[in-house]
Amino acid sequence: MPACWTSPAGAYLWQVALHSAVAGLLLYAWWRRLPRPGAAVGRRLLALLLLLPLATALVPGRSSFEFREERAWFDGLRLLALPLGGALAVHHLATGAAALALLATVLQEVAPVVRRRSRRRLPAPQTLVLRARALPGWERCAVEVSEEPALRVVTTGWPGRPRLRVSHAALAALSAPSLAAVLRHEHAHWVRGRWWRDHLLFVARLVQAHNPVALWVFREYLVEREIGCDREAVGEGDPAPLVAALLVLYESTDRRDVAARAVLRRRIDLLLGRSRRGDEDPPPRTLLAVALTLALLLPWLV
Amino acid sequence: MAGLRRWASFLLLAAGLFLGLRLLHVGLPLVSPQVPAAPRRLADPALARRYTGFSAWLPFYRPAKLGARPVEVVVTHRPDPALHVVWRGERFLVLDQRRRAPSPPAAARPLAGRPGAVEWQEGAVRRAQLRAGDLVIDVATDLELADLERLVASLTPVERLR
Repeated sequence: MPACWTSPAGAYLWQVALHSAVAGLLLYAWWRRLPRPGAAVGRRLLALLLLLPLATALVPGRSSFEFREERAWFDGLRLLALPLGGALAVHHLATGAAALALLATVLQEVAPVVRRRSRRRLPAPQTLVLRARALPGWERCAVEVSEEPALRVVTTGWPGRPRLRVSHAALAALSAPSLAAVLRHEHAHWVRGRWWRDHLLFVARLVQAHNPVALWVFREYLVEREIGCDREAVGEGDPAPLVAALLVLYESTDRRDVAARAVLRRRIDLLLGRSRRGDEDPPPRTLLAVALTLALLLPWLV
Repeated sequence: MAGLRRWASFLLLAAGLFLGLRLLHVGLPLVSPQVPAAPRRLADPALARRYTGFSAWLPFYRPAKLGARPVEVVVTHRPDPALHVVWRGERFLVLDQRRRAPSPPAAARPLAGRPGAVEWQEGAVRRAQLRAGDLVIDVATDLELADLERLVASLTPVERLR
């Protein structure tokens, strides 16, 4: 067993992944047993799953040999040392999984940002600028058109200084009502503290770049976030313009990208009311009790 | 009330999962000897290979003052597998065998009888260190220097002693 697994940094990273896996399994099983869970409980549980392991793995005084052997409820090093045949042991598998998760983090989270930054930018049409700046809180919004072949409408920047970037292809493909609905969707990312929440969770995700559970949890969180912003963009109005925009995006997405197309289909179905979500979210104090229970239990796993 | 019931169902799930983890914690060292567990006492140093991955080295020469058999044979796993063998009669002898060990002090002198071995004194305890294959063996005893030299010179893998 390489010594890096018992070094302070190695032990912390391992415990983050272990706590994340155990909490993920528990929360998923619990969520499945809820009668008709709504969207909010899903988002809160996913956020809890991203943040809590970073704290529980930090609880001090648990790295000593005595704690592992005499007080810990479960010592993960026993599992990691389990031989799999030949010179292979479970810790080799764990290292491989961590390396794959790290690679996925670079490809999914870091590379798109670098790619976006390198695109050439064109001046935005005045109508688009006016429409964006008419949205509440976006009076100082910078608007750019990027020269890229993909349909893309994204926002970057900081609260108080948002930056809307629309690809040339999106401008050409979307009708005026669809573009307005997409702008309302992007605007929804900046209200109700979503920007801060998303960025906090993004940082938590980057810290857990090695953690395959965090990889899955953050993807699920992003899907839930998009669904929430869709709902807010449509409000009580007609979902058709946003659905039309999503359909254009669906058609332009590579057929091999099954996951992205499935998410778009799900968003469209929810907007059209073809599939319904539950509305029986457990009260916040139940979620708090669950979070506290996990916070008390997880530090006993090392 | 519904909230309490839901929390209770979470507790039930947590109890089940934690019970499973505990079973793994206790069961894994029983299933595989290479899985590190608490220090393990062995009846015979010859069994050490199963738990540490290396053969125990024992001295062929053992003065009667040490007693007939080792009183303690213990395998530990952290940070690396290590074997700790103790004889205690009128005099004592402690052998610690592992793959990595701290270097001897600068005052250590070469020990006659085994190339590369060194010895030094710490109060009433005479200490020696030597390399044997990929192992580092630390010796601690209150025997005379001549006994220590003969003892270290006779260190042999346990399989060859039989």
